[in-house]
Amino acid sequence: MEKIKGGGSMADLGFEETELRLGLPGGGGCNDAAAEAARSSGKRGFAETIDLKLKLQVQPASAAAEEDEGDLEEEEATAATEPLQLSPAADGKMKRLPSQSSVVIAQSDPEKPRAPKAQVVGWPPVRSFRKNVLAVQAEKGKGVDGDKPPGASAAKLVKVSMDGAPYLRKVDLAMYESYQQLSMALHQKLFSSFTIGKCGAQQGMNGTNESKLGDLLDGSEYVATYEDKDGDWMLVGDVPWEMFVESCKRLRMMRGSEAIGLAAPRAMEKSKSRS
Amino acid sequence: MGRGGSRATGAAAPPWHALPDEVWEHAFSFLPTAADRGAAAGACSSWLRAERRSRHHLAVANCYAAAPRDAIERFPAVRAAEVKGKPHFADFGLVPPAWGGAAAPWIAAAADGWPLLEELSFKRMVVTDECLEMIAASFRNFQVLRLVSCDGFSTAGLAAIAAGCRQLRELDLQENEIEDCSIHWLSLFPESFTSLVTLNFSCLDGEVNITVLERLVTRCRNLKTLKLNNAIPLDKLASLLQKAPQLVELGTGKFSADYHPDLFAKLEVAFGGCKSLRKLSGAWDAVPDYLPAFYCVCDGLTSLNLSYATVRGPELIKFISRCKNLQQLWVMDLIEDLGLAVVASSCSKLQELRVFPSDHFGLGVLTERGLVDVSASCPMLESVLYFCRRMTNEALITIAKNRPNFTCFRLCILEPHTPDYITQHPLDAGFSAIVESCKGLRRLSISGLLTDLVFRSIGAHADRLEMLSIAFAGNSDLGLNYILSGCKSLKKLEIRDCPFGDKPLLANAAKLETMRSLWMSSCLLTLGACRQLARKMPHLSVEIMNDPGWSCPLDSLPDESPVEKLYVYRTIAGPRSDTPSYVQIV
Repeated sequence: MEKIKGGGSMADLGFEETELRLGLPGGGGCNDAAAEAARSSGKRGFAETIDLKLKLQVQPASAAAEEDEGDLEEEEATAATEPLQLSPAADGKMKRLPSQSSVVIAQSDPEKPRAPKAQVVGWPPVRSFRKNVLAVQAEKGKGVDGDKPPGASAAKLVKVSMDGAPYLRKVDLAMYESYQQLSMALHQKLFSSFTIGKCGAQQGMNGTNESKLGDLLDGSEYVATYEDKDGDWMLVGDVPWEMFVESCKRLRMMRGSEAIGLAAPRAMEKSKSRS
Repeated sequence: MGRGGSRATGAAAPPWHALPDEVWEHAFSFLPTAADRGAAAGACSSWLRAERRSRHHLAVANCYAAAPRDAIERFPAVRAAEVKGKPHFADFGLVPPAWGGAAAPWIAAAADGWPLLEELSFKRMVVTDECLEMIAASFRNFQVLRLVSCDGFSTAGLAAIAAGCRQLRELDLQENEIEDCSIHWLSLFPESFTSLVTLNFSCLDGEVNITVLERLVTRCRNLKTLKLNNAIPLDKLASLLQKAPQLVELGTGKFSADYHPDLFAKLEVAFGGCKSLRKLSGAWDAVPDYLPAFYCVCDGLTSLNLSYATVRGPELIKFISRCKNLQQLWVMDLIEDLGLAVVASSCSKLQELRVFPSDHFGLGVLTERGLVDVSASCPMLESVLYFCRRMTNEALITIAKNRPNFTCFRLCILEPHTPDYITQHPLDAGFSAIVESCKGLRRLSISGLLTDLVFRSIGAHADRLEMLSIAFAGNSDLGLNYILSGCKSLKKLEIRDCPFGDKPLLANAAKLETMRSLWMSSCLLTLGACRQLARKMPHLSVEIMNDPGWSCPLDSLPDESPVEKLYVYRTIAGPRSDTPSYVQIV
């Protein structure tokens, strides 16, 4: 057991007397106690799971879970090179996943300056509202000294509204590289939240929520439109992706029936063929 | 105690327990807190009757702890209600969308049972335009609407409030997500409407008709708080201030423009006229050249919120050093240790300090030094929120010694598991010193490298602690056990990414009923334990959240299945019926 040495004031706290046998997790020395506890409880020691040297990779669209309880203990060298993949398991069981939803990639050295890294979800605990405001500020304004403004991330957050949905979402266009990626993300964000059976039970004011959801579930089609810098509503997909990201101010998923009025002849073609 | 009727002799006063309700109601009006009133109500049935019928302000800290109907029936005379919805960690994106927290049932019930309602406040709830329309239509005496961190509504809902609430005094919108329907809602305040005291639309994204705003501000002579959004340019700010020199609280919205001496002069004159200004905030991407325009108000300021201000360096310091009467300061870490040293020497009345991170990836020069300086020199400092990159046990011990009067101490070291950067030890000793020294501590957030030992200290010493936030800390079940078996006053516990498992949860099940709520995510919990907990404690609602992409029915899963997110809260309302598919109540 590594005793805590230090200045007089720390020794006074009497940690040497404690009956807990603790090593410093993840640190240079002995992990025996922690690992022992982990083995005896049959669960993966937590120090190992989010050991800062471990690299976990998440693939957004499809993820495959591996049952590798044994591999991650102690062998930090192998763990460092073995990317974990995550997915819903075929038999419907939920596998033990080392906080896959929390840690995307972790960095090893807290002292060194880092390149922008993928973050742990919800960490540091800064309100999403604040993050959005600072990202927008960075986009619009310049730093006082003309250098990179603080709070900058290259985010291009735009609101997404969907006809019939009770509230909006936000997407960061800078995270995607093509219309297809955006389309997948939108599909996941907008439709996974709403196409759920229990939502209809939400105590809406007078059942309007339920009827709206009914429409959604009917499979009526949506057309993606966006408002550009000039304030015009355009059909998504006509201009090159980069140009779209540049000029898009907000997105709206319009009901197929309403989109008939849009100028692009393609849209009219589409909606005609639907009915 | 028997009724005193037979003992009455002539002109003797009625015995105290036979006093009419009105007397008790009047007596209870002197009780300072809801907790005191609740305690009084528990004494006997006549006190219960008197107290509940005269309760005018009701705070529902968890909207699912009771059904709206329960609240209406128990407290029929409520005039001001405050309801909170989603768990605190929803602020950081840990709660997926559509979780719940709809305001609609509360508004519907209130419309029915509290027609004289004057004030409504919602925090972290879903408020729709229909909700706002219902408020405008149902309460003829409605005066105060406060929405904090809510979403689900648009400017159309605001229009309904503006048009319908003839007695409105306060419209306070804090950090909400509001859809901009391009409806000029401000224009819907009638020309005859003059009662506004507070108008805060700082979180609104989108244009506002400046002329309409000016007219509104001009005719509302009682306006004390005005918080603008970033669509209001600087020159318009100057003219607004000239129309409302009586303002006590101002949010400038976006404060940036190229420097023009005319505009500077105009602003200086405008601020010079605001003799009552005490609180200042705004999103200042500011050209520092304009800061001196504020100098005349600095001396009177008690509250300064620069947490969205990207101003840095000497200009910022010059500004803050003039604010000698500051009680509350919110800044970004751009202030650096140097700036905090100035705060320490200039702001002797400081009570609350919050330092926010400006950039997750950059390195500033804000260290433990800044906090040590402020805690050493500001004797009234009692509330701290501090984001930094490094800390030492020695610094924390010094801070604890200097400031035993902390009531709220939240330290967030940005990188999880960061040890004392000098000794490389865990920060157990430092945080232990804090809880041992600060006997009145009510709220604590810990971070950095921490072992189970810190929890032993917290459990043993933090008697008044009501809210505890833990992340990436501890080694074993012992840690959680220390907390749940100690911390006498604990109400809210939120934990993420800690190696805490089933045993301490089950061993301390009864404790959970004395608390408002428990959140545990990315820990080592299994479904079996949650099932057991739910069976054992019928007055707890045990909610399990898993990845929204998954929706396997809970019943088919074995006990060993891991639980990613757990939210447990006490309730008299039974399981709620509005859960999305990814939330299952065990």
